[in-house]
Amino acid sequence: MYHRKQSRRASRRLALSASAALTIAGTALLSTAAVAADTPKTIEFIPSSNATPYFLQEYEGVKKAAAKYGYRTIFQAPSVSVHVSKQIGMVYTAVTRHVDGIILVPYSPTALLPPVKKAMAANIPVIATDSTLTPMKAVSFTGVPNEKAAAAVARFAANAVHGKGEYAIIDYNLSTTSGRARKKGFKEEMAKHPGMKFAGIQISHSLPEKAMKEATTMLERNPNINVIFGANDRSALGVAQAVKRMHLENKVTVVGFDADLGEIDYIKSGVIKASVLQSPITMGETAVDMLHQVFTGKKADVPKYKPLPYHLVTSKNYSSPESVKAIQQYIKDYKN
Amino acid sequence: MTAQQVTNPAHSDMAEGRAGSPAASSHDAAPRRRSMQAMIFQLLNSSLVAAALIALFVTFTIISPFFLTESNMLTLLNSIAVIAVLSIGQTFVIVTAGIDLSQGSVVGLSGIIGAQVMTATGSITLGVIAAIAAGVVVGLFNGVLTAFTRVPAFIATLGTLSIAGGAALLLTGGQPIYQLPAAFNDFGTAAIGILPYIMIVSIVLAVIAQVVLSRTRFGRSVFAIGSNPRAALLSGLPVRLNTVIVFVISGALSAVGGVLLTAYVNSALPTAGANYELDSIAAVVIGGGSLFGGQGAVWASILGVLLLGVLSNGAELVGVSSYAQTVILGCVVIVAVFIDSFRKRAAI
Repeated sequence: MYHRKQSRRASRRLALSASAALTIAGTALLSTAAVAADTPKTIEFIPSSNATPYFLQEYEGVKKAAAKYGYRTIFQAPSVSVHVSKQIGMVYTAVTRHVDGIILVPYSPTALLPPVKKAMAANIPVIATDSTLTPMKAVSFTGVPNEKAAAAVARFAANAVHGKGEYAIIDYNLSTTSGRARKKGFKEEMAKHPGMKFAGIQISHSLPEKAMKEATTMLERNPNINVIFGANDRSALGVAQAVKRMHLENKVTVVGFDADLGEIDYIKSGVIKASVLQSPITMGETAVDMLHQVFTGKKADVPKYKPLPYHLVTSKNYSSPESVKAIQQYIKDYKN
Repeated sequence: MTAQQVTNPAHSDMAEGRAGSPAASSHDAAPRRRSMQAMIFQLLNSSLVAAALIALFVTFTIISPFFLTESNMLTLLNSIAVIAVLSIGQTFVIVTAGIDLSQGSVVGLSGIIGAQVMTATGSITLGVIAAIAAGVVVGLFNGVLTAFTRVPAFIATLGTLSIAGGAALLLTGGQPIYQLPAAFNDFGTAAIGILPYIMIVSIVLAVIAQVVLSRTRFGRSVFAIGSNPRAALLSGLPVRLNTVIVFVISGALSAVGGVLLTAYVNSALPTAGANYELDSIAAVVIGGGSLFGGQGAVWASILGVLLLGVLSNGAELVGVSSYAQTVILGCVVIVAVFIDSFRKRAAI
């Protein structure tokens, strides 16, 4: 008897809490649902992660250019960048919603091919940005040539140590196209300097503390290392911290890729000697401009590949107008 | 024996004692009554999940003209197929009052091993066998640790989560594997109507698993281990052996998930399954599986997977930001556990 009464009461509570859950979900959905059906053209931006400052800056560029043409924008991205299947699903969903154009940062050059093909077949133009697809099935690809940019910073580092010594790389991951291209570009340029010896590579998974640990271990084990390349902002930051902590600023040349405030501070204080800056905002704007050309019937004018310029900011030139402009691509309100 | 398992007998003794029924001391009637009660709660909870699912379906169909379309249903089913397979294995483990945190890493590791064997031999069959073997090995390791040592399942599988994840990175140096046999990727992206092949695999496995868990002697002993391991041991059930088998099932199914994911994304990434174990645990709990053991059903867990999948897909479709989506999903999981806790209180 006791049992039955209890369970009945419990079931009533169950029903109550379940309906509460539905209401929460429902209101959250309805509040944003009003956006769904509108007349202006809609562009969906799907980067490979929703918490990477670099992609958020690219979205700033997308929004800026879209406002110019009166287009609406949607931002969708997997919360963990390794969820490539989630990104695939997002592109399919964008196709289902009949958005007018898609700007994509493909996590993998091949995994995103089927949904991109489907979008293109449904007359939804796709622009690949930052990382490309193989084979390139999108309308166009725009981004900084990672290999060339990494080679440029390698050349800088080799010259800084007069072409003699050992270099190490802290890459952020080797699963993405860009991660591999930066490693390749850096190593190939270094190979042109016979006095430079490769001392090893470690992966930071974009965690500064991991990059710091790996760099510290490398430097302790091999005191001959005089160049370390941090292949993205997080990695370079960790390397700089390690070098500073070990008081090796004058012995080890740290070079990086991308920028954030922390990295800029290290460039100013001379711990990081140089970093390659891309232009995420320009990248977003370029992609929207391309879609605009497709929308207005000028698809033939859109190049298959549009390389974007990169800029080498160094501990000497960081206050030049070009450098400040380049840094502003990463940090909106940056002033020297 | 986990801490949870140790508290469990006390918990059920109390249930019988408070009920004040003379049957409490009888070895015969108590388990039957308990299982009937469990079944009723299971049904009640599952029908709530089903009701919530229907409500979400209706809501999304009204809000978005694209929700109930063939292409969206295909996207939805594609997105849940892998988690569905994992949740089957997780159901077995959770029913024994265990937990398998290594699933996500096994997805990555088995995908890598399968892909390496496939590219080396050119044989899809050999690749699939190698992948599943990898899953079985990890499952065996988890099971033996949990059943024969005093290492709790949580810690054992937390360890293998790290070991298998690291092994996948070691095997490839962090690089993904492309250039898999074309037929393999064709399988991963093909569908009959709105039913992707990979989802058909999940459904077939779920049906088999449901029958095994609810209709066989092994299945009953899995429930017995979860509700009262001491009683199960005293009544002569092979508690240790069955615990090992349960973890092997979870490992093998995670490997199947790894194979399906690899086929679907046309590449094997060492970190591919990261955090998938959390989704599968959430699905089992939403489906009414109890982390204290003795409760859960495969079909109910699949309902849980479907609920999570519909919520995420529908939210995406109507343009809820991906940040808000994770908040909503978290709320749903907590509400499900909340319901679970009421059920627990009702049982005392």
